[in-house]
Amino acid sequence: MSNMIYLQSSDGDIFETDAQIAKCSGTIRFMLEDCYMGEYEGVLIPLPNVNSAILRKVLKWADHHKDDPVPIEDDGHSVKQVSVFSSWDAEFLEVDQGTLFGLVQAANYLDIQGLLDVTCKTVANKISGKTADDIRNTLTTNQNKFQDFI
Amino acid sequence: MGYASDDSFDEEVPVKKPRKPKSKKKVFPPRKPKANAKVKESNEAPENESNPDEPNTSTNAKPKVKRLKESATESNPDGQPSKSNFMDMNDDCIREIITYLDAYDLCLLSTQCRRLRNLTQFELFRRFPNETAKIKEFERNGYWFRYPGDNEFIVSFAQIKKLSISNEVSTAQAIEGLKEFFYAKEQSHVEEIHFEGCRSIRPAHGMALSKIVDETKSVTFNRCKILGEFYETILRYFTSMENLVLRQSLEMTCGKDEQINWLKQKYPNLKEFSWFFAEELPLNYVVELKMFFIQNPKIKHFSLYTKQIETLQRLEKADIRITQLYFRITRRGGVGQTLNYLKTMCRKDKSLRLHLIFEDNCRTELTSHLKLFVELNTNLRGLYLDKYPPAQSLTNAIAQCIHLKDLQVRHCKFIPQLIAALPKLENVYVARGMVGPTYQQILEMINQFTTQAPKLKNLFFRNSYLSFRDFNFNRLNQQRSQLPGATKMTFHVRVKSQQKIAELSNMQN
Repeated sequence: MSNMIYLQSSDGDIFETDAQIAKCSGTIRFMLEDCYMGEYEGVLIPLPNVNSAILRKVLKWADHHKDDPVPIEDDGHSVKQVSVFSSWDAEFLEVDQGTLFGLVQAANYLDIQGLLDVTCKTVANKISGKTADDIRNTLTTNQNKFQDFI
Repeated sequence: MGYASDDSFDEEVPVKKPRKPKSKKKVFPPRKPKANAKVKESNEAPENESNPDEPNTSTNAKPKVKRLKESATESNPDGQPSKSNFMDMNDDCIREIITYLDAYDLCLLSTQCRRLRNLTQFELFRRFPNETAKIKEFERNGYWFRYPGDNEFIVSFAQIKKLSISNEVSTAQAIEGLKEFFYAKEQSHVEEIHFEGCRSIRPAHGMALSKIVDETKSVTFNRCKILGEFYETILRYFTSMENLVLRQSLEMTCGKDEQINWLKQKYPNLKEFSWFFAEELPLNYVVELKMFFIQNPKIKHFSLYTKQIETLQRLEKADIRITQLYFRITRRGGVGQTLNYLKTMCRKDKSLRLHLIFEDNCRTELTSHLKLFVELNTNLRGLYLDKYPPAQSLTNAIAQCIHLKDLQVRHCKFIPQLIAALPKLENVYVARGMVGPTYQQILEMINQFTTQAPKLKNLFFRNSYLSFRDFNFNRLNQQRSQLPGATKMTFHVRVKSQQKIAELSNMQN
């Protein structure tokens, strides 16, 4: 059964995708199951916080991970366990910083835990072990952002 | 909080699990697709899209893009470098990212800007709840604090309630940093301050602290050396002090006569005074102490740690009343003689709270004076035994001290008997030496205490991290939750290095 739905990026581009794939996003899953009561064939979901380039990446990731087992719900108590990256993920995340940050935000907005984990871990890796100056140079091209020192 | 001995547990690490904040779900109202909207196939072969930025013909109004504006306009799908900024991400995302950073990196980030400071602070508090801020040294962009066991740490607390200052803050530069820090933090008011192992407390310390300690209620000096006169150097800055604790700290560099000048002062709010004075209290000190109590009639509690009967005799002669007495019983002092003296003291003052610390070598003498020991039972609040487990006869005697709150033992075969007999027990200290064949016995003891004593609040271990490899505090607390009326217990482990801390926290998962 094909259950195609449409996702609209912030640029207005519309992507057709299988509902099963889109459902790795908690946000979309919630909308499809609660708002459309499961009758979602052909609906259009606007995603005003995700641009086309990022949405394309996200869908690519979701497509690759569509057969992943459902992640066990975090009990909210344990320290973050660093899951091992698959080589596919590692390659997938070899992107420029802007895209990486975009993916973090998209994963957060779309509530895709798996993608959020790998992207956040990648950003964290960029930060960890660096000196303050390195961090500043790594994370930003805009020095003004850090100028509100106390 | 009882003090087991003069080198008691001063750097415990409460072992607790951090909590993970839940991220919020955002839902937008769904819409039906417009008939004339262009549709792209994305899940098939997104890479081969020839023209990804095809103009949008949809009649939908473009929604405003807030956070992603930069990456939306400047990054493109082919992975060209973009000028996107970490700080453009929203708080949720940054919070998620920093959960993967270790404490050191968090501290470093906290020095970058106010927003990051707030975010990292949140994460640090999550990981180290109820922790005292320990100041170590000051850096250009931030304030370095040290958590127990951690080597380097910066935390920038908006408000510091409990503060611990260690020896690292004794150089002129560090004190200057301290001063600047507190001048910038006028809104902070420290409620509790500890000076831990400061080899030199200088007048500049008091100056630096003066801004924030005027509402401090509790002041503790532990293993400190004071340069100059105690009152002038530091005490006079604590104008709201209600509780003063001096532990092995009265080494001063001032003239002999000036050593007790601080006792001549008036402390308008002081209510509790604890003094750990192992040596014999000199006569002139006793005279000054008497004056001190007369001048400060608000002091209702006087705790004394000593191992000298002579000190007690002198205080009695001067009619100075002790409310809480920590007495270290040594073989040299004579167990029978000491117990006899304490007995007469307890008779005179029914409300005296007595804590007894037995040195190991007086164990045999204690067993021959068990009758005397039992007669102290109505006053006894704390009992600290090192090394050897109590035998049946001693256990029977302990079981009669029903008011006991603090107990230190190494292990004991008769724990169930003690638990049943001592309903008021709150703190259990595991004496050092969790190694060898006794390990299993100690483990068994901990288990019994956790799962059977409902009123127990704290369990303390010292220098025994190695033994905790296959030890699960959370499982213990879970088992404990089945005990009716059980209070939540905190486990305190005293460890020194970061590696061991990490080992311990890994164990919690």
